Amino acid sequence: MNEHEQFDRLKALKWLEGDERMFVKLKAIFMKNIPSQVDQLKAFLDAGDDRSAERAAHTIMGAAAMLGASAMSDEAGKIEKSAIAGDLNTARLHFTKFVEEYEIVMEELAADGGE
Amino acid sequence: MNILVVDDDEMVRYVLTEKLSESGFSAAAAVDGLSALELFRGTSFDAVLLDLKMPGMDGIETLKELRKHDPDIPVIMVTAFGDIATAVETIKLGAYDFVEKPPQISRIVVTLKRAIEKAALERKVRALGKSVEESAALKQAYEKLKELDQVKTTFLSSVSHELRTPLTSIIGYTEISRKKLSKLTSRISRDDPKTTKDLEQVEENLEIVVSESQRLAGMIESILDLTAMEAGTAEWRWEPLSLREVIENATSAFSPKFREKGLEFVVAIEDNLPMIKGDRFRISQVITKILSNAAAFTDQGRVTVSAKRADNDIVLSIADTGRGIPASRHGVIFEKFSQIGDALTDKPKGVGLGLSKCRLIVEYHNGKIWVDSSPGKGSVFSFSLPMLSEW
Repeated sequence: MNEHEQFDRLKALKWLEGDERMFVKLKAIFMKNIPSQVDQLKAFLDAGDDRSAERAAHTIMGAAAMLGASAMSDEAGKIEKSAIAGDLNTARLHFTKFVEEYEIVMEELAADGGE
Repeated sequence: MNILVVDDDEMVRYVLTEKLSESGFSAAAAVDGLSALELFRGTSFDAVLLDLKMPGMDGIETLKELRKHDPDIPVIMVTAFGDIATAVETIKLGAYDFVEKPPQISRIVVTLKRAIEKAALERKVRALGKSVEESAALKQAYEKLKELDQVKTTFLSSVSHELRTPLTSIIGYTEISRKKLSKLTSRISRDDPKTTKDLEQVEENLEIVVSESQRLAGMIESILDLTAMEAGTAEWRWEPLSLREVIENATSAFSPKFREKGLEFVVAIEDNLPMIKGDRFRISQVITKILSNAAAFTDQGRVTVSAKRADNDIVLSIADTGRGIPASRHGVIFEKFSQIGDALTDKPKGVGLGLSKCRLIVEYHNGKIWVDSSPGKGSVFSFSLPMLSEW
């Protein structure tokens, strides 16, 4: 991974067993679905719905991991863990950091044209 | 072969259905448990790949419902990293195996083929409906099932090995961090009470990380120990033993614990017990496990350990006045992934390997283990060990 990149294309391709076509398709699904899932997560956090926030964070965590976006996945994981513990204040703090990672990943994915 | 993929994540559904099609399967996908059940009622599937954590009906509930409709359907759980304990729980509920996300397709294909083959063999065994000894075909099928079970044990063992290495690092580095933090806290304590308080909180959190990681390490060790015994690679130290000595050593650690709980603790060993041949450490493990269960599930009354001669065996019994176990569970509590806690509380602890390990240890000693118990009346766990002269 390039040190400036927030997603690890090689890592993603490794579990896809080198299938570049699959990676491009997954990237498209990710970019289509994730913005609304992030909005939903924020809404759950704002509404104090820890159970739904936990599930939403879990889904985002898995999706980011599949594209090799480790930092974004880790931050989503922290939100999930705080939500499981019922600590939505901490979850909201993690969400701020998560959004930073998420925005970088989306920018880089949009610029990613394959290698 | 028709596979049902159940996952709320479109990316997982896409990858699995595409890759399974490329590997010669046909695959359908469902976004949640309810849609999965609907599809399942109308279509015949050979196996199910099921996400553990989904909104609405989660993986565990869906697994239970699927198995109500078809008790033979092989279900493979797809889990996120960190959900291993829950995944093990699903195996107890009848799942064939679990794979971690992101799902490696080559491993999934191998697991699916084995699962489907095993289900077909089980159906064949049932259809033939005769005892293993009466039919060569059945015998062959039985051997194949045993082989598949062995593959599963090997897998469990290798996963546990893989988990142990990073866990050791986690425990080590967390301990180092906690100690450094402790020094730091003592250095600034007089100047900044607020920071000190915050640092102490972090220190406490690290202590929890260490103790929970050690608990997890204990579970992993338990799995490795059991799989080594099953595979015949565990080390045994056979020697002539005085059972009195082994019992007294193993029980001494429990006296304070029972006293603390207000329980009477009695150890009654018959005089002049003959020697046995055994592994001191392993027999202690059996006694310790049964006494730990007695300690966990007995709130009042007494716990009695007794040993006496019965024909050519020595029978060791541990009786408690705890909650007791229903007769329907007596046959399964010595099986892998069966938890005695299931029968007694809503919150079982551990992986459910303790008593199955006890059974293996006793069987290695050519002995037998059994339980007499009923709810509300307590339990008596007993095991027999042949005398040294019988070896």
